[in-house]
Amino acid sequence: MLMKMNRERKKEDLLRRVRGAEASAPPAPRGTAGPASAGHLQRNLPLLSFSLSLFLLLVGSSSSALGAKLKVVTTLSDFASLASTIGGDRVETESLAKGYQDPHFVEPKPSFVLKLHAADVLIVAGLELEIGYLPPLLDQARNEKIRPTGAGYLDASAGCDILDRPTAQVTRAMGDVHPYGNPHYWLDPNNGRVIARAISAKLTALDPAGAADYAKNLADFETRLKAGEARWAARLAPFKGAKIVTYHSSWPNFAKAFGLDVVGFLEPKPGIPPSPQHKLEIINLMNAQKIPIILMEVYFDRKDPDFVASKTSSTVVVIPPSVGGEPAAKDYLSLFDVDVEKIAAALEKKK
Amino acid sequence: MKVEKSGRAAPRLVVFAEIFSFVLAAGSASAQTAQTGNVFNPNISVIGNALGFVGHNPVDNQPSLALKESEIGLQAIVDPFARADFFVTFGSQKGDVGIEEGYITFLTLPGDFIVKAGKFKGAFGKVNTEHPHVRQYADTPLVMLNLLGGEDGINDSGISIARLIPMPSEIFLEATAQVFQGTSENLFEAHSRNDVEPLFHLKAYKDLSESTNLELGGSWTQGNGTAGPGLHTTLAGVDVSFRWKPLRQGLYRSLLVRGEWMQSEREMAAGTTVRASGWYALAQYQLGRRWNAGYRHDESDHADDATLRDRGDSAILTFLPSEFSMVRTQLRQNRYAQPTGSVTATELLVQLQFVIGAHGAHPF
Repeated sequence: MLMKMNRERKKEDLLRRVRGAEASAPPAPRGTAGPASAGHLQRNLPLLSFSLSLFLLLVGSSSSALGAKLKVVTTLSDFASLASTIGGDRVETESLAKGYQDPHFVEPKPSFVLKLHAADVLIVAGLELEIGYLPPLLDQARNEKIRPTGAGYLDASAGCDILDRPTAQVTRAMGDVHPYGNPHYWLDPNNGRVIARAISAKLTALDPAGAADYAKNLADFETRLKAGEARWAARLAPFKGAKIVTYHSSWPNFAKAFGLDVVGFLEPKPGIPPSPQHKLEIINLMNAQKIPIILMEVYFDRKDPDFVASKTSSTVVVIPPSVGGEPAAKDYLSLFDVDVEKIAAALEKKK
Repeated sequence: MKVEKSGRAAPRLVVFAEIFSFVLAAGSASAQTAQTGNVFNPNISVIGNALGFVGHNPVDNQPSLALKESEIGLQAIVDPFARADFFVTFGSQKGDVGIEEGYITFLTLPGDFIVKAGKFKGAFGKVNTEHPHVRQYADTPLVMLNLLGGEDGINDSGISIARLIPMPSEIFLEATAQVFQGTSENLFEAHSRNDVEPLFHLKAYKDLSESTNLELGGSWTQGNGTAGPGLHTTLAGVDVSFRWKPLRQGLYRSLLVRGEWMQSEREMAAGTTVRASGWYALAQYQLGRRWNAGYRHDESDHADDATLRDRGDSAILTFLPSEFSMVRTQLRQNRYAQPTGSVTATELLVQLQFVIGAHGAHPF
């Protein structure tokens, strides 16, 4: 009923505007235009926006033409790398966040809505890592397949070894804590294995024709991963139990996997930048325990780590926490090659 | 759901009681150990916004210090097809309570439509759609106060339909058509059911590079004005936003430049039409991880007398101790045009804002 009345009203408006356009009177003096020539606004912008909106609302065609390839969108570049390894040329992958970007602070850009709109599969880290940008994007994406209830949605954390799960009640007095555990779990190669298998299962379910390809690619990946694990373990074996300080708590899974011991953070609490007092405490801690390196993600400011390093006998090691964080970390396996080599080289010098 | 209180619809009460007992029975049978009662409660957030003024302003005299607005957000999924959002606001005065927004959004409709129904802010430009706590400044731009009826702007009960328009070269284009009941404070007043207010909005967005993007918007609306029945008020607006945020240093550096222009045509009781316009331009630069500096210039005619044009300038400094709290100072000079002459008001605004509860989306 409302719509009908509105339609009639629109018709009236349209007629009035058309009449106004025919009159095409010269613009009246500012602010004192009479009703007859009141059509300045009503002639140009509104008619354009009205007819354009109406036209686009009614006529615009849906772009749901299914391509030959599965479109996989991931929040993190690491999942995109794994998906393209497993999917091969049967999939197209794209990551919303770049490897050199803080994965907590991705912006909900409208261009991401377009990517999610066209996606067949969405792989997320979960554990509320994407809480600041993904929910509004999914609401805008008009794509039921990749909503959390959809067949194309994959939470990569399922089945992974998740650390730092709070055992007591969390409050924001602890900083920006993740109540479901530390979301940087992809930095454990064994979790990478779990994620790769989950991706293979998801792709197989959505594209059964590619089952053989996905199985073969997964087997290849697991072979290379196994070789990588042996290589990385050997490289870091001399430094087993080495104490390190990291900027943010991004590295518990990495440290556990490679036998490093994270004893402190430059951030006093997750998400809170280093305060002068906390820097002093960290300097004292590092001097007392002779801690050789400060591990820092590529997207933080070097100023504070450099300051702490200058007051201790430690070195700042800047490493990518995700694929693409630097050019050499071009896929999931080379990410570990880069990170392990940088850490080993820095620890070697300190020996 | 007010059945328990009123009790006048007896048959309905029976039905409700039956459903209720059924739910109880089902609940106790399936989930005796787990406390499922709270699982489906909405996400709750509370935002406090305290605002203080230092200086003298005879035209817009605000209290020295007030918890200007407290907003409670209640947000949840309704069912597989829709979500609902409620924002209840409390002012600093007694009895100053209102539903700022309360609407249901249907997210899974065919044809790429998103339909929204309830009470919500009209999709007119940028500033009208923003809740005060996501703005880059502590106050409301003059153009909104003068041409959109005040701090609340176009905020009304209605229906909204939005559709993505397929475009080449990764351009985001969304067309929105809305119909409102036609009553927004100091702006639109519906005298009959025919006085509905249609509103159209077109939003275009493109990533210029991975760190820069451009957004353009066009808006138009018309409704029955406050001058009397049959006297229309027509509004048109254009907005432009440019953003820069280098991803690698995204925590520390960013820039937002935004301009918004509006024109208002009010049919007056005297048989004339007043055409008034106004705009603001804003730049905000992020100085460090927790610091932002901004500048805003304001200009706007009075909606009922376009010979009077107010102007203003503001310098803004914002400190964010964490994602969840903010302290802002704004040095503002407004030059109000009054029939009796010009009045200059220089003030210092101090804003303290904080949020507890559910983690909301990052502003963009």
